[in-house]
Amino acid sequence: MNKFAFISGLLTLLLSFFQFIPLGIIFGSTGSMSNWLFTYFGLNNPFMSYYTTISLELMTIGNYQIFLWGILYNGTLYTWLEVHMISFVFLFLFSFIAIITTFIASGKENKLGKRMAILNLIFISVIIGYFLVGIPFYSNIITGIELGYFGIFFYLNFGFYILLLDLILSIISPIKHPMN
Amino acid sequence: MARKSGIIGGIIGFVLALIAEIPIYQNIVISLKIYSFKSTEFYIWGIVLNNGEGFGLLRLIFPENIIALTFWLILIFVSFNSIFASPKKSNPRNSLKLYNLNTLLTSILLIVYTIQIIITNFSNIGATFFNIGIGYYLLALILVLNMMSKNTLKKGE
Repeated sequence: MNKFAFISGLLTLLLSFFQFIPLGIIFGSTGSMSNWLFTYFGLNNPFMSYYTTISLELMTIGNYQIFLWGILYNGTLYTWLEVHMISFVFLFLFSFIAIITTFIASGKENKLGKRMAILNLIFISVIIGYFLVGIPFYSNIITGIELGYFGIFFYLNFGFYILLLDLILSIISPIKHPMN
Repeated sequence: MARKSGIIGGIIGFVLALIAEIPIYQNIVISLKIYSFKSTEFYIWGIVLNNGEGFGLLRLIFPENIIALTFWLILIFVSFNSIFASPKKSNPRNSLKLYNLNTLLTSILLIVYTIQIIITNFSNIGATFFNIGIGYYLLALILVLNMMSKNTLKKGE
């Protein structure tokens, strides 16, 4: 098993589908998660709530919070599909494919696994590359705020550092890939 | 066969890193705090004040936020290591290295928290055991489980 690929896949999965990591989880019938479950699924008891969170947003500009799956503006969620098609492809679709490739890479201890690990590295590199170049380029369309190419570094958030860790793991994973 | 003690140690690590309370029956809950001081509860992931308000490790002031984040990441790292080192297929030499690393890192965490507990209870040493939470003992259990896995691995060789 390629453990580096597995952890890389877990991190990409977190960034692609989650808004935050809940910390200090408590189990009970109150809290935002329970309200959400009750509203949409009719489930009311018992489910988890939490004290605090680690946000997975890549960056914050004004009232916009930018994630791999979309943006959050004044508390309303918008997926990239609704906001910006190119970002949908480069950020969400690529990360979705990266998750699949990396989990195949973690399970297959052969040439296919290694190829998948390399493919994962390419996808993660493209995601980071697009985020650093494409988001400042399209920032006026997405958020209405003009961002310089180096301006983005003032707005980075915790999610970006997780993505960097993901990139480091995806660089190591093809090198350390076990071959049977 | 997989070394179960290592896997259990990893799961306990994740529980400590993410969960505050586990309900047992009706109003009976297990609080996973490391220790408490003046009705503030200290967990690996942050703190809970007297009024029930919780603060995550990133909301603390500098440099406490960096230190708390490092401790949290160390625990996550130990948990991953503990699980990954334990399957039957894993390379025994690498597993031994990981168990040694886990033992070292968990010991560092325990020493730091012990110093914190002693300092916060310095004026009333008798209250120390009253203020120590189950989280502290579970951290010690992770250390013991890693040492057990290491011994099992050595015996197997």
